[in-house]
Amino acid sequence: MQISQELFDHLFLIMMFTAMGGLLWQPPLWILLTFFTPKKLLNTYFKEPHFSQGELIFMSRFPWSLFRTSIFGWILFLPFLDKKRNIRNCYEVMPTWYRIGLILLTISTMLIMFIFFGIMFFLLTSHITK
Amino acid sequence: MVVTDISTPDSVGMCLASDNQSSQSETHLMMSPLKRENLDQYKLYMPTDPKEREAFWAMAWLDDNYNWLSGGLGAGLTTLGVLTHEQNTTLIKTVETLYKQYQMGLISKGQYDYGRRKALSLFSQRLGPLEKLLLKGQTAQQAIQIARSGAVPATEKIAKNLSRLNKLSKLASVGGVVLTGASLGMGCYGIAHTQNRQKKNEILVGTMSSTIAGSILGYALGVLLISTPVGWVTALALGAGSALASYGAGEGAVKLYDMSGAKVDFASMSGVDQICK
Repeated sequence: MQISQELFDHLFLIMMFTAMGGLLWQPPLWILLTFFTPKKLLNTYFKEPHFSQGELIFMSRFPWSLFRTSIFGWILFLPFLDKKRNIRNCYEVMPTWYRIGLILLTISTMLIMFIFFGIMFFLLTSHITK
Repeated sequence: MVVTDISTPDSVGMCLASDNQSSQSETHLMMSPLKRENLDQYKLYMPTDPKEREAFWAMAWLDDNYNWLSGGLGAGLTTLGVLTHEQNTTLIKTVETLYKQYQMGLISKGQYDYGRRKALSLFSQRLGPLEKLLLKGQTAQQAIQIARSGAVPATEKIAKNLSRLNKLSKLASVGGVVLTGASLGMGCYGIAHTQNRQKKNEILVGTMSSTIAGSILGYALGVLLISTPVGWVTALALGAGSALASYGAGEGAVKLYDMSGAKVDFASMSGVDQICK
């Protein structure tokens, strides 16, 4: 695909600003949500049979507890994926602030993923017309 | 103009002769100063905390065999994290407790040996079929004995990276996502020590892109984790995969930056060049 140098520059800037902005907010939000995960959620769903023994062990400590947070985050949006774990109703035991936080985190991750990787892939595969 | 190789038969002959003549004792003498120097450095850099020391040894070994530290890929730290997590280190602690009991005379040598072998064979089982691959021919028993004795494979590559290894073992003893911190730290270091403005920006663009890519991909892993309960092997593979992908994203961003003519000075715009001096 042929694009002009100007378009290339603009798209690149959008990509980098998304990356910079995302870097400022996404990791801290993820870490905060992980540390402040409500005990009620953990006691109800972070145990067998929803999570296997091995997972219970390694997802209890930072930094792997981040994965636990991301599982809960994605299940809010993609409940149809939940065939084995049976945690699709976890939103019921989440306090409102936590739910909003997770939704924010997941949506922003999806946006950044599409914009950042989308633009990068597009730009790497296009030619600049002189 | 043709240049011919000037390796005269005489000089070649002399080389070969001197090689043949250098006896064992001569090479020994030649090696000792280097070894002695290394020993002092090791004393300076070997961590004292046993957890850190184990991490130090493991990373030294990883670098030696897989070029992990010099290669720059973060998969190594993830591997280390998985290998040294609770389940496995508990077994090692069991061996330590047994040893203490034996020293205090509470159990006999035979009991200690038996207990040790049992715990370590369980450790090998947990490690699984990858054990031989990861430990490169050494069994878990041998590897742990070496680690316990405080020995470090004293190769040149490791001698060069000693201070880095020391710093990293502090981080590695804490966990796996430390990769992000380490790569940001190394990026800042690179920016501070480059004079060229373009290079500074390239490093910044690359580091930021690979970090955000790592974080995003890490979060996205959650999608995969929902459907399948994950064992340690899968965790290892996933960690390595996302580390590779984020490395690729960093490289891609640098390339795009250069293609865009390197016009924007991100380093001064974001104030990073004030922070990383």
